[in-house]
Amino acid sequence: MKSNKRERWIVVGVGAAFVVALLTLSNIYNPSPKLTTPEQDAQLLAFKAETIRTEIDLRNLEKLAYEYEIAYKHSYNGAKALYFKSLVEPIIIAAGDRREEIRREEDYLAGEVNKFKSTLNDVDEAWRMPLGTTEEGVAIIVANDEQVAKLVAEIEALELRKQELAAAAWSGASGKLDESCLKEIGKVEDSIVECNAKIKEVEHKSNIVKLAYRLQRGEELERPQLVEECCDCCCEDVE
Amino acid sequence: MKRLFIVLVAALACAGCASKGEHIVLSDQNPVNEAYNKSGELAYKVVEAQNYEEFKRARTEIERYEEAFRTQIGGEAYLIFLEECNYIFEEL
Repeated sequence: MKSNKRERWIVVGVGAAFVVALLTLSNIYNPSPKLTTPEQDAQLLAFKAETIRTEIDLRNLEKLAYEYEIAYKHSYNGAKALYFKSLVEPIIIAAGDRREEIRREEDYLAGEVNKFKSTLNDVDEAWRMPLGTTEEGVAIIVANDEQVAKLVAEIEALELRKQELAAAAWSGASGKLDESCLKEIGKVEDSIVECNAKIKEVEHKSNIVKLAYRLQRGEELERPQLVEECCDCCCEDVE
Repeated sequence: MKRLFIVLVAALACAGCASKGEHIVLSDQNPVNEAYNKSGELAYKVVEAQNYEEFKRARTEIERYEEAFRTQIGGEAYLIFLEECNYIFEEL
């Protein structure tokens, strides 16, 4: 009789310990925020919002605000949850704006770092570049300019083609946009982007050559044609 | 043998540290002022280098300071250092 009673107590004790352990574990893995009042909880989120620096911080704040809202909904009612949401929403919006400002600052800083490093690399390349005669340098610049002019003409032709394709896509008899035309427009746009990238690359090469002549020899590479063209067109008019 | 090995490792470590050159320590008293002064001084060395050797020395120095401003000071002073350097580099 006595041992039966002891067994029963042991079973009850083990059961209670199991329930406590289960509750503890569920609280650890799925913690619900401790609610005070909507005003105090909103204040807490406002303090947290002031420390936001990264995108993850912002996401965590939004998640926490959502968890509070759900907790208010479950513990009290929808009206209290809505009231809490109305208090927190401006805080989240302000935190988002602040994060956006920080992102812009980060982008600007990254741009400055990139400019600093690329300039040093360019100057390094210019100092190490083997140079020919001045005429050879000018010839490189002229050839690069001609390549750029060709690429610009190609872009103009591609822009025209894009306009034609756009007109053809809209003027379909079925009243729907022509899928094949749209695909073609996509290809043309890719080609334009490619041409622009090539132009930048060629211009960059020209700048390095000019820099190399300036640094190593103190010479400014000028296109002789430009001087002649200038004399032909404007100098006579001025006279 | 074991002692010899320890001495060798210590010597290698010392040599490694020495090869990195002296460590730049920036004062945090007036970092913005320091950024203006150092950027002007170092960027002009890069711009006014007369040959590749001079440029290499100036580049190493300015990159070490850039690293020091980034790791030790950061924030506004680091940005000022970069902006001033980039502004002076435009003279090239």
